[in-house]
Amino acid sequence: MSKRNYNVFFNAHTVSGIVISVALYIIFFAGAFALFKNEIAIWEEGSPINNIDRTAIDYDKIISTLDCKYDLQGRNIDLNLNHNSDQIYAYLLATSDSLASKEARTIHYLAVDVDTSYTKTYAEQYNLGEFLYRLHFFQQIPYIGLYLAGFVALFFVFAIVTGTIVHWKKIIPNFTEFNPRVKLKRLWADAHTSLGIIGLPFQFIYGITGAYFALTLLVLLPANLLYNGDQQKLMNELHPEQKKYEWIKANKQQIPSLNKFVNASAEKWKGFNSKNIFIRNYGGSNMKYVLAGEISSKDNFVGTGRVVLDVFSGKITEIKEPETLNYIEGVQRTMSRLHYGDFGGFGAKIVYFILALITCFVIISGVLVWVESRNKKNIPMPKRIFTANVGHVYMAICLSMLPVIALSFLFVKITNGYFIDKQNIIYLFYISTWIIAIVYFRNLRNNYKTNKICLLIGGVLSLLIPIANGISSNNWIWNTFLNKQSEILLIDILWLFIGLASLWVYSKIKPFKQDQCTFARTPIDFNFKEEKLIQINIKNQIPMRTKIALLWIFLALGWVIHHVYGLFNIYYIEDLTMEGATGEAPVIHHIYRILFEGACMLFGLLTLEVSKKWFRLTTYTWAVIAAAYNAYHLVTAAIYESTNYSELFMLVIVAAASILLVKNIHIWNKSESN
Amino acid sequence: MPANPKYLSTSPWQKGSKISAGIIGGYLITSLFHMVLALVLPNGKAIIITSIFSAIILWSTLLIIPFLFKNGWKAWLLYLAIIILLYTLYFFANQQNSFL
Repeated sequence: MSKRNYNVFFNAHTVSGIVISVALYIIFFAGAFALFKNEIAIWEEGSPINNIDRTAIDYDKIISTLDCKYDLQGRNIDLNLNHNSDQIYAYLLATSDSLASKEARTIHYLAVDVDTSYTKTYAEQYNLGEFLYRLHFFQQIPYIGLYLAGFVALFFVFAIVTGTIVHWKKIIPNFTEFNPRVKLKRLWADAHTSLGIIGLPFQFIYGITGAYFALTLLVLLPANLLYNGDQQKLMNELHPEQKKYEWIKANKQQIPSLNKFVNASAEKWKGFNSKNIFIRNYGGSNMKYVLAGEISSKDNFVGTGRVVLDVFSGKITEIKEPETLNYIEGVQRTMSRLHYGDFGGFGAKIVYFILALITCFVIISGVLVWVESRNKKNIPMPKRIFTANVGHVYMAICLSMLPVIALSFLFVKITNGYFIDKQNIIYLFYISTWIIAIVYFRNLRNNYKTNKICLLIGGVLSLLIPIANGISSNNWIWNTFLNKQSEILLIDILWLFIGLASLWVYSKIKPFKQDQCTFARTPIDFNFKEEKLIQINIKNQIPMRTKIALLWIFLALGWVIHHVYGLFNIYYIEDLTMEGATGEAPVIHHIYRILFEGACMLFGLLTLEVSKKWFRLTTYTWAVIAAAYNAYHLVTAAIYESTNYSELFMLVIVAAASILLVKNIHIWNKSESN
Repeated sequence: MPANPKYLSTSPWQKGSKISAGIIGGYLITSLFHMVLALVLPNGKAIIITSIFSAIILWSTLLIIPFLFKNGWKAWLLYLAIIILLYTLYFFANQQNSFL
């Protein structure tokens, strides 16, 4: 390879790596936990599960309950049998029967208890596993999050390939020369290459499958064109088990039993696990039952099978044998098997988990090498400050994920059963603690300390998780072991190991390591530029603290007005009491009021009197959280309530005030610390 | 340790041309390539389903290739030529579209 190409590839690897690094780290770290999404849900709920055989479930009862509540006439219904919990998921699509009731036109996604047929909405059954799974592809960012994750995955493949090219010659020497006692920069560089190569197949698989899952839209666009835009036809070919049929007309006869069909079909093959039931055109003359599932991955890596029944004629219209391979279905199942690691029980998932954490290490060490090698005396100070800053922010975001996730586990365990809408409360808790941690560690400006503190707090919190589970659900490790609640046990043991490992690493990182990094030898004066930065225009000047106090009160007012919009619903839309109201305001309502208006009023008041550093940092953190929330709220309101013009107008002003507040506290903070 | 800057292009236009050639040009080539293959080869559906991984591999390779060029516009020129060629093939192959 020519010298030029080597340097070009090196630079391409560096730049693409740095750009995607934080996002990629979040994807892998959250993804590592998302591997255990279902186990986390069961752990969080805490009640023992019965591992009911999927063929023993009374589907007829569930269907008739759903029919009473949501009118199934003319709908397509997807049941996800969810393997190892006492809930199945029902996705009710809108009816295609033009004569059906109004109720049948709304789409529902529900969790259904297999014993009681009790249903929960998506927000009610939301759990931390779901949150981390969604964080894994940034679904918390509306609309663009998924595509952002997809392009990160694509550039991850780019970085893997360029990285392998660049490090090709050093692969073997890096293994043999690896020595943990050398200088930090060498250590990181060597570890980056060695672990990068060890994880290469795994990471490549993840780059490819991840990019496909997130960018399905782009990848299948050419196929869509070949089908001349007939997406339904394409989908029927790619997912024959989910095939949809034209609605012909209703059939008023009694609908034959689903239980009988499931039992008869599942018996066809030994070791067949039923995974999905698809009901097509419910109550229609061409109504279909589809049972899809697969045989154990021990027998066939890909062994999907299905039976399709034309319900009213009683004829089986299609059978796919699990032992017969079908390329079109096999490729897709292989992609998902490789991505979810659901082929070798807990063992394979643990290996995936460790490899995901190794990938996190590769990402972090890459960033650290980048930061270290750009802190030299001959580089201009503003550039060095910028690099160091990027390093501090990146480390703050990445390393604080461990304590924040551990704390969230404790939070959901302790508050389990307390909140009805779990989605909002998990969002609020996770995102605000994360922002607090990021602001704190960024201002610490010391990667060594950030690392130590995160390991210590993360380790201690991890060890508290099995204890909290024991106290609040009586699921002590020995109990779950004796009761064979392997899902709950797995999560506790996982945290036990994470906690012990974190504390062990914590004890191994000695202060002298700090002296080996370039920031010890060529320290950076972070106050460098600051004389120029603040030039105060004396004319028309509102004193900074007055300005900040005003903005706080403005925000509080904004939120009060926001609640007035809640009243609008009562005037024009809803009944006077909410559905499910008990005659008493729930405690969470008070917590929300204190967090929103209360905190703003308090900070507004205190700003008039207090100007200590801790206070400035606290208000700064809170202002950032409030700004993030307001911006998020503005975006969601613009998407979902685009006709509520006056509210949108208010939200724009409040979001602007929020951003001004962050900016002004930042300036205040800087001028006070000079 | 950082790459030697004397080999790197500094103009933002050059950088932009290489990146855009990779992302946009690369995507168009990948798509047209798979469309032509799906139309021409006997088992078109198998090609479509293969594309769910081969498209990502091909696209990421095409992201890298423009960086081998000193002049990014030449990379665009090459990509454009391939796109036009593939589109012509697609146009004729699409006369007998077996998917419809």
